[in-house]
Parts: sequence; structure tokens; C-alpha cells
Amino acid sequence: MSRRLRSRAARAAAYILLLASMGVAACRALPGPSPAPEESSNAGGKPVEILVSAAASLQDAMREAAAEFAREHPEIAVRFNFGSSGALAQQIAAGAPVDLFIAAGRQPMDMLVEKGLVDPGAVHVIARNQVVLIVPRTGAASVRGWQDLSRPDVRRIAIGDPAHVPAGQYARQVLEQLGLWEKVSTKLVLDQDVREVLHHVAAGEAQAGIVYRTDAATSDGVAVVAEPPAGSQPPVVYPVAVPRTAPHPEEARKLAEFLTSERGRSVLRRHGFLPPG
Amino acid sequence: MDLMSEVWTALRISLVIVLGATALVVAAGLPLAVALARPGWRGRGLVDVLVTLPLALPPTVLGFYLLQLIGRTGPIGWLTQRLLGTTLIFTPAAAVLAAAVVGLPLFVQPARAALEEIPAEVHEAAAIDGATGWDHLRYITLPLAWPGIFTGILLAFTRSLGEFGATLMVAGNIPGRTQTLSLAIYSAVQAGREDLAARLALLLTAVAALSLWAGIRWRRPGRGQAAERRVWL
Repeated sequence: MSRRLRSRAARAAAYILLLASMGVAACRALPGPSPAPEESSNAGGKPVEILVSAAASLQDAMREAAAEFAREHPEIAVRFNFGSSGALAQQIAAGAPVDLFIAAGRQPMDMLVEKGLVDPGAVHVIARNQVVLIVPRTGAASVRGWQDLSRPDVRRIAIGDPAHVPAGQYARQVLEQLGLWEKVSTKLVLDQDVREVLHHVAAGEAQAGIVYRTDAATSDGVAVVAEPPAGSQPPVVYPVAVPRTAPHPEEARKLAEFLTSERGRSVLRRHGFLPPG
Repeated sequence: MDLMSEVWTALRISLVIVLGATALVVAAGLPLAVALARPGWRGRGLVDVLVTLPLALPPTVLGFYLLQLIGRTGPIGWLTQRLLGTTLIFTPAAAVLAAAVVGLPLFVQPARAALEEIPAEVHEAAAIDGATGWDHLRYITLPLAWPGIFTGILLAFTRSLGEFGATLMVAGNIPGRTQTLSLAIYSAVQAGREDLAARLALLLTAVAALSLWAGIRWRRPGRGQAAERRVWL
């Protein structure tokens, strides 16, 4: 009996060993369809590849900025990883080989500073954002400003659900500051994300909506009619930093510098972002 | 990159990752199913819970756990750093692992149920006739449990194809490297590129429907030995 047990244990151990070696072999064989170049050996003229983790809301602006950057710096190839800022920060904390981190909001960056993964002096704000009041572009716009929202002919106002959509939380803050929250609360359509708000307003299903300025810039169907009054909300900032663990810090710093330069800023401006102020 | 080349790249990455994940699921899941089908060993309940847990957890939570596991300070991270000098984060291997973990319970449960259905007498009779352990596996266990095992493979394969949350956490969303069809759809919607999102969604639906159809057709009794196996059951 004990011999049988031992041989069974040996077989199980052999199997686990086989699986583990298969796993290791797979990792070696699978650096991907287009493998990442090794450390900064730029002798062969092959561009150094840097990996940029950026908030998903920056996608379009960053793609365009990277294309312009590539013309100035052909020796650097930029690869992106887009996701929610919180998840991106967790990946860096777990050891992801990220060269440059661009977050939406201070919190994810602060988390990395606290963990000692980002030097607090290395954090720079490249842009700001704010929520704005939008209306359908077609048809007679009955809403021309914040106070129009309480009029009876304005029946539906689309915002992100403040329970979990950051843009919706800012929308609520602005409406509360203006003393409108109570008056319009029965007209609110609580959408699951900013895209839905844009759809509802562009289709005219809602007479007005509140989204980020940058989201409004991506839709042809909506027009911006009002900004929040000064001081009614803390602006959303986009901080950028090279993590201490970055495999290619030199090259990453060049991209960060480009983003804060006049050319970088003009790309961000085109996509609706405000200057860092 | 133009629109269609983005679509094909995402499809290629998806297929490589899903095939890798399915292979891993079968390699790890078959011994697990065999062990779980056998009653009365210590720790069976714990293994059962651990294998099935990914079904219950939201994918982002699962992704967070996996990230800790393969990250710099996790046990797998420690191992890969010693063996390969790096962690698996942001590699297709991480995507394979994430897809395999979510697919595993869908394979193990039907496979194990099929294995449990095999009457003990069949094994006993074979043992009297002098069957070795290998004979049991090759001529009794696998043929009789095949429908359940095959269903498990099909479910794990299609679930891996749609995997999104855990993959996003551990493998990132890197176009051309780890961006699968599901991740590409998320990115396209986020960026308001509805044209691209629609094409990707259609392609993903077609690939999933086609593999399910092929699988179900192939499994249908009346073809080859499948009918014989049914008689046995």
C-alpha cells in the first residue's frame, strides 16, 4: 500500500514538473507576436521601445502625440497600454515594466508615490479637464446655460451615474453648487458611462447632458454651451511620471518632455484638454 | 495601422492566447477532474472550492489576485524572476494564464461529472482481467468520460475567447502584443471608434459561434465511435 502511494506521489510530482517546464517553455517561446526589443542597445539602429501606461480617456490624444513624437525621435518606438488609471497603477505596483505613467486624477499617482515607486519631484501635470454642459447640435437648442435646466420644457438631462462614474460625481457637484440639484433631480437620466450620455444627447433623447470637455470634443452630435462657474469644482488633472522601475527612463523622459512642450500641448488642446494652468 | 490590420492583429493574438489557455486547461484540469471524481481524500473540498472559485469572482478581482501572484512579490513572480529574469506581467503568457484560470472550472466540472458516472464495476472487472493503470485510463476512463471532457474543452475555449477583466489586469491592453479581440473592443468603445468596435464585435461573435457550432456538430452521436460510447453510458 505504501509503495503504491509513493509511486502515485512520484507520478504526481513528475506531472507537476512537466507542467512547470511546459509553462517556462511557453513563456520563453511567447514573447509575443512582436517581441519587445531588449535593453537600450541602440547600436543596430533599431528603435528602443518604451511602454506607456495611459488612462483610457487619453487614447486619441496620446496616439496623435506619439505619432508627432516619432517624427522627432525615430530612435524611440512608443507602445501603449490603455486602461483605467487605478488598474494601471496596480500593475506598476506589481512590477509591470512601464516606462511612463499618465493618470487621470491625482489619486493613482499618489498611490505610487506613497509606495516609493514614483519620485514625488518627478510628477508633472500635462493637462486638465472639466465637466461641461452639452446640448444636441441639431434642432433648436432650448438650453443655453445652467439655469435653463430647471425650465419645465427641459424634460431629460443625461449625466453619468454619480454612484460610480467620476464624470457623474463632478456633474452632481456642479449642480449642487449652482443650487440646481434638487430642482432637476427628477429629470436626470443616470447613464452607465460618458459614452451613453453622449449618445443620449446627440440623439436628442435628452435635451442636455454633462460630460468631460474632452468627451464632448469626440462627438459631432453635441455642442458645448456652458462651463462650470469658477471654483465650483476641483479640476481633474492628468499627472505624468517615469516610475523608478522604468526599464528605459531616459527615453521615457524625452516623451514626457515632448508632452509638456508647446507641440505636445497643442495636440492635447485639439482634443479638448485644458493647459495645466 | 489601418482599420482591418488592427482587426486581424487582435484576432491572431486572441487565437494564440485561447489555444494556449485551452491546452493549459486540459493539462491541469484532467488530473484535477480525475482526482475530484475520486471520493474520500484529504483536502478534496478545498481543491474543489479553489478550482470553482473563479466562476464566482468578478474578473477584475480575479485579475487583482493573479497580479499579486505573478507580480514582483508573488510566488510565481519570484520563480519567473529567478528563471527568466522578469515577471510575466504584460506578456501573452500572463494572458494565457488569466484565460486558463477563468476557463478551468468550466472544464473541470463537466469532466468530473462524466468521470463520476463511470460505474466502479467496469474498473473492477478490468482489474480482474489484469488491466494496468494506463489500460484503465486509455480504454475505460477516457472513452467513457469523453462527452463530458469534450464539453468542458468547448466551454473553456469559448469562455477564454471572451475573457476580458482578468486579462486586462495581468496582460495589459497593448495593441500588437496582448490586445485580444475583447480588449480591442473595449478600447475602441472608450475611444468612440464605433466603426472599429462594430467590426471587432461581429468578428468575435462569428469566431465564437463558429467554434461552438463545429464543436457541437463534431460531438453529435452517430459519427464514428461516438455511438458506441453512448451505448456504454
